[in-house]
Amino acid sequence: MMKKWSLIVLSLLVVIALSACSGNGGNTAQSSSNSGGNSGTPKGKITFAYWGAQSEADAIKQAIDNFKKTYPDIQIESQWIQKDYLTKLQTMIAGGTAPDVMLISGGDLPGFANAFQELEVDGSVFSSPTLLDSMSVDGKAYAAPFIIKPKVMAINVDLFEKNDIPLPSKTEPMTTDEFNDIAKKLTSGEGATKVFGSEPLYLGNWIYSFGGQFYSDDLTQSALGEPEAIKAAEYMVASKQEGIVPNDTEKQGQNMMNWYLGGRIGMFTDFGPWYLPQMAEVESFKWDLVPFPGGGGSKEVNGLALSKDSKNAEAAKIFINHLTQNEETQKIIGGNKNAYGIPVLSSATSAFEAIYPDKNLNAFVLAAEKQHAQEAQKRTNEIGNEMKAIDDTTPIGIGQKDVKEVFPQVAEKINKILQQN
Amino acid sequence: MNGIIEGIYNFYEGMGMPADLLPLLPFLTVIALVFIVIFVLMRMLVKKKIMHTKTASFYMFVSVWIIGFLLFTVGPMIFSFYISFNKWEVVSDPQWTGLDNYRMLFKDTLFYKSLSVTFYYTLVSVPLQVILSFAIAILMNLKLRGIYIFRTIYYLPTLVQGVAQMVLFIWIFNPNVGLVNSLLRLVGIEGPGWFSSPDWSMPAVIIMSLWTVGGNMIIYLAGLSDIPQSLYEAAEIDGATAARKIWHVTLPQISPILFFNTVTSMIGAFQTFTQGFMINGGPDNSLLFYAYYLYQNAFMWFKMGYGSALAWVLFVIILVFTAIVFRSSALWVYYETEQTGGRKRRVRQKRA
Repeated sequence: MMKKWSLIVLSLLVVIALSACSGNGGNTAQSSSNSGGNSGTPKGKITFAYWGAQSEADAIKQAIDNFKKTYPDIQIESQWIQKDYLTKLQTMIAGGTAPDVMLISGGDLPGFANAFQELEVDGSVFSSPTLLDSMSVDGKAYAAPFIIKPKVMAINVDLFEKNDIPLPSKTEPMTTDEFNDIAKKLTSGEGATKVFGSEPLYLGNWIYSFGGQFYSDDLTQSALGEPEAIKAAEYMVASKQEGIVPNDTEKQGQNMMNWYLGGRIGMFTDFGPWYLPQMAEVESFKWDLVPFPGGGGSKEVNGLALSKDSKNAEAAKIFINHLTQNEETQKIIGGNKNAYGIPVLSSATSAFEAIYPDKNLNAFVLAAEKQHAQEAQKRTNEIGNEMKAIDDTTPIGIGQKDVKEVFPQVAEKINKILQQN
Repeated sequence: MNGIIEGIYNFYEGMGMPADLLPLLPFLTVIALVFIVIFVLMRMLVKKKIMHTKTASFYMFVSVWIIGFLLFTVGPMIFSFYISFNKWEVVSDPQWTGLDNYRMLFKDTLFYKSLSVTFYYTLVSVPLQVILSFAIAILMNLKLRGIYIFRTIYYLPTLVQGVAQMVLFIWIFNPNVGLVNSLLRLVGIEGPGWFSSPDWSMPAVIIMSLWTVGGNMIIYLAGLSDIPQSLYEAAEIDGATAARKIWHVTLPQISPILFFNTVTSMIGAFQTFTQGFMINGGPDNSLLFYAYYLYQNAFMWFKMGYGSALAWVLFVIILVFTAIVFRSSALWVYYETEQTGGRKRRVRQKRA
């Protein structure tokens, strides 16, 4: 009898021992974090969560390395979250293990603001005072702008020359009428080799080209029912009907960037900095960048936010300030060969332009300053679900109903969501 | 509780454990402690002769499952029940709102939409699945040479399930280059838009659900081979045709398995999620399955309380329907051990 018991005890002990002692030979450096150094400056460990592809993570790591050189007393534990960033963040916050510093996009910020600390940031140091606005909710800044991802238009210079179209200005956006004329001239051919003026237009960019926006300035009402938004929608429908952009059958399952790279699209309007690395390899045609038609497009501003529950807020604040306001760090992140994004400091944008000196990267820099920022709501996802009706029921997507009829209806539904507290 | 976990965490950190193991160690420690407590308790009970050694070891063995069940199933269930009476945006603290979430359900048009989508799917696909898998099982039960190859062929699709299946079928149902419409075009029919058409997306998902009937088929096959040959022989002597044999011998004999498959398929159908998730609820919310709507509310729209309320309503719905099927089973399920005069509990014999 005793033998059996001792066997069970033994096996339990083995389990405990295994779980407790595995990898005991690991690092011992961490315990040194609290010793040494003078007591005035913050030190210790902070955690930093961010998302992105490998190339983007590399860019951020370079910036962190730069920070470590300046502040050797502060350790940064990176949490590179490759998938489902927001869900993961939510879970960590709910579980009480929120990272000290979190990368957050302006569009998602309002939903998370409750988990962040208000930051004291001087908005005037950045290239545009609007940058801090997109990091604010009700006038309070909850994150510091870190990087900007605006939209410009990429053009196929060869197609322009072939059709005797003068090249558009590199600094002044063309008007929407000019865009329409050029797109018509660029469109030629039939079937599987048809060349299109542009890729299917995206409301999130074009609404601004026609002077519209998604919400009223105080963000309390949907502006989709306004005449400007409807004009933008009608133009999107017209562009499909005229055949200057691929229709639904033609675009189904197709990657529009690949079509542009293959020379089948003359002007690629939804062009963000993340496309630059693959453009660098293009040799089959000449290309360049120009501002978004009609002054449209929208920029995504990503910022660094500080957790409400941070145990080392002082060190975290130093980290945030260094990454967002130190010229050298901003140059490192903006000058990354993979074109992570446009720096938020005017003095650092030259590093971004230097990635491809013979292309008009200045269009991105101009857009980073002037373009309308992504409009954000706390209930963005829920609103996005109502916006699906636009694709489902109007000719912008697969439906048949008039946009004049659908847009005000969608606006009304969105207003109902906005009224929830 | 968080404090204890943190204490353990800091203890291990102080010991110089590798950073990768740190999140896991507090958990393992707590589990180990729980088992030590159980072990010591059992030991005591056995020593004082309150419990027999064999009983104690029984509890020790099942404790692994029971603790997991309590921690990871019952615990979250209780919590979700509590949270369903709260407004909880996950990133801030829960606020008690009483029955508000349940009241909101009645005014929510998407709730009704998701219910109708789920019922449509369940009521059409479950009978189809049950009938089709039964029919295939009868075919696969024929004593033919190489029938094993066919059984394998019919079972194989079951291995491609969930996300992989959905990705595959999005291409099969692609209106331009998909397999289905290409075949239809061969016979001169211009097929519908399937997943991009509000009317055809559900039929597409239902057809897709028949892809995995192989799983149920295997269960039927096992049941079919259990039917005593003597019953068929007796029927044959009485001059029964093949159809008669199926109706009067096979069906009654296999009815417990039919019952089992119906119940599990039904519960599965009510919980359908992937098909809606993979194409974001489908065009015009035509694939807004209940479980997907629940997920949207809880994890995408920061309405964890409302999502929990939806989950409990789903639980009640499934419970009611399962109860109905169970009740009706008295009318159509035949158990061989049954004796006339109703069910009798067999009295357990005392061990000598």
